[in-house]
Amino acid sequence: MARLNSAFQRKLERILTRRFPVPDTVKLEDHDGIIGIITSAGFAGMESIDRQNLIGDILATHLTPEERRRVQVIVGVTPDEGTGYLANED
Amino acid sequence: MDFPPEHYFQTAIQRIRQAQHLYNEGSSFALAIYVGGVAVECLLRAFKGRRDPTFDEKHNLLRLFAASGMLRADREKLREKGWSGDQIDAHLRTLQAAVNDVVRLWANNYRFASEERLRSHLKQITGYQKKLKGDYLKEQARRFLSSAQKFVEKGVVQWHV
Repeated sequence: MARLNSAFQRKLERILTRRFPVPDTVKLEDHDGIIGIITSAGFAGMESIDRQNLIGDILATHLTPEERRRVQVIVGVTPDEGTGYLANED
Repeated sequence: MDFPPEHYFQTAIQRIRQAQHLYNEGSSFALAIYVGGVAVECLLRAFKGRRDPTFDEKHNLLRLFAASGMLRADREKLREKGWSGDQIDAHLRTLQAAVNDVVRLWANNYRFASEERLRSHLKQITGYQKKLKGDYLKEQARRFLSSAQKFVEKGVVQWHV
């Protein structure tokens, strides 16, 4: 994924990395709004709606409404799921 | 062959029906998952095509999702149609959850996977769900198609706003 290149992206990465520290990973891209993938073993056993609620709560706590509108979607995957997806981008 | 946005939109609806048919009638769960993902991709391409006819996201659904602008739904327009703020938020959250499922459980190269190969792959990547009873691939297909169906239904509503 593309390198972070804006202050907002860096801020968002800091927020998410604090909640999902190494060995978890946070990858963000700006495509007319932020998209990204958080890879964490902590998502194992969680339904997608619960993963989205967790990520949504973090964003709601740390971002202004205007900043939240700049985030399109950040998905949560386990290391195994993330490896499968990212290995098959094309 | 070029396809206009409306064609992608109609094909998305066809593909999700075909995916359900494969699941219900054919016991072709691997193909059902693949076709369900194609339905989502068609819908994203439809929305993307209305904004920008060039495609450079290939089959990366996360990037296509961003390029489609579906989460940039015009809140004012939706409110004019009688949607409440809570309804708009719930709509967007459902789309995000469906995308999360698709990103977790779909890849374009699934079209090459046999039933056995995909069953083994999904067991490997979703091993934390070992307690699932019955045919593991069938249950994953059911869950995936439920998300894809939800995504397409929400997309159809949004297409006509």
